[in-house]
Amino acid sequence: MGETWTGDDETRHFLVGLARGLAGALLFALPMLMTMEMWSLGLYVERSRLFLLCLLALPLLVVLARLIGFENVTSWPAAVRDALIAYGLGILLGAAVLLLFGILDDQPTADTIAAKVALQSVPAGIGALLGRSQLGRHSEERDAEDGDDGGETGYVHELFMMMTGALFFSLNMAPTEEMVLIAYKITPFHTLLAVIVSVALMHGFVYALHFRGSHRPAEGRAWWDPFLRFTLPGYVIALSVSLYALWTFGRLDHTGFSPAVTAAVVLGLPAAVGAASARLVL
Amino acid sequence: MTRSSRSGSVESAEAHWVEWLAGGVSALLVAALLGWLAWDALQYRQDPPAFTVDVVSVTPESGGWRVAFEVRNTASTAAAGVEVRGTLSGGESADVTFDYVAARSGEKGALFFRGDPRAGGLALAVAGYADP
Repeated sequence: MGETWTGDDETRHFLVGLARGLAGALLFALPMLMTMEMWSLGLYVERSRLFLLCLLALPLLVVLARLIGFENVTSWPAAVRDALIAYGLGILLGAAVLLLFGILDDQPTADTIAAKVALQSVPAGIGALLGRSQLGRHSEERDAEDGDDGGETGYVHELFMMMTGALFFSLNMAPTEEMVLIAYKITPFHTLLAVIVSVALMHGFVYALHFRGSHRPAEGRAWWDPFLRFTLPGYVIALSVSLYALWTFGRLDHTGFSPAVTAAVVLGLPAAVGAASARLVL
Repeated sequence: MTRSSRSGSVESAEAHWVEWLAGGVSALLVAALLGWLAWDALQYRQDPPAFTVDVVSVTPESGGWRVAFEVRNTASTAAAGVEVRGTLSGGESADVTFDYVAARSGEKGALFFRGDPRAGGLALAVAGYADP
């Protein structure tokens, strides 16, 4: 992409980017847009927590745009621009789909409409950003770049990617009633097992299964080396993110310590899988 | 650090001390979680949900009274569809159903009465529940 884009080419390029963003937002946010709990959450979710979520989404999207940005984002202003476009696309798409399904007609006060759309805008915005970068990956423009793909990935970068994957999966699943229901159904033995399964899955996803993008520990290193440096911090991140998502959606209110931990571990399983796959995919 | 290429990523041999610190702290946290869960599992009894219902406040409303209460589940198993019923000595009754009351947790709610609950004879109790 060393050449400069001019006139029609530049416009076309930008529009293709927007279309990819919309496609990505649709792909990633559709499951949430069609989840009943997400609609009713718009009515009762605590507004300060929703505000915090929407606020935290901004730096998340900016850093994400900087790390995996589509248009070879090399500067922070460009990353901010891309993040804002993605967020905007997320809001537009969320509003459009909710309108299409008649969800916004339920309780048409400005407050609930804004809350319903705001809830969807965060995952849709992440989706839009991923769409712009990931869907564009196999296009002709990107191919030339693959040659110099071999840069070193920083430790913080890896952890950030895990957080993004965990957050995305958590946002998808935390609103559903099934998370608390499973937590109420299982015994502490099941919970204990779920922790071990989650950690094993995370490690296996990244190191044992030889997916494209999977990781190999450096020569002469024991298995526990990457386990300690990547898998365990990744699981702690996944658990923290799932706790945060549950808290945001008011799923931890009025529950004691033990049920809250159980719910976090239950949601932590998909969050861990999301975190591990983010290391492979992104 | 991790080196990425088409065929996958190879982590570089020399790790920054921050990585070991993060790993160590995470290992402690996961160990603490496992420890807590193991302790919880040892404590666990398959006892049926047990409830206590406490009146929090009685306030006059237009044309009646609001009785705010808290229902607590003291057992280590959760209950679903918990129905709390309140009766006055005059025979008036009101009830409300909670979707879930988690183990060792409490939920708050309120019942409305026409008669004055402070006149005595107010009784709050859990009428029934279902397993989640």
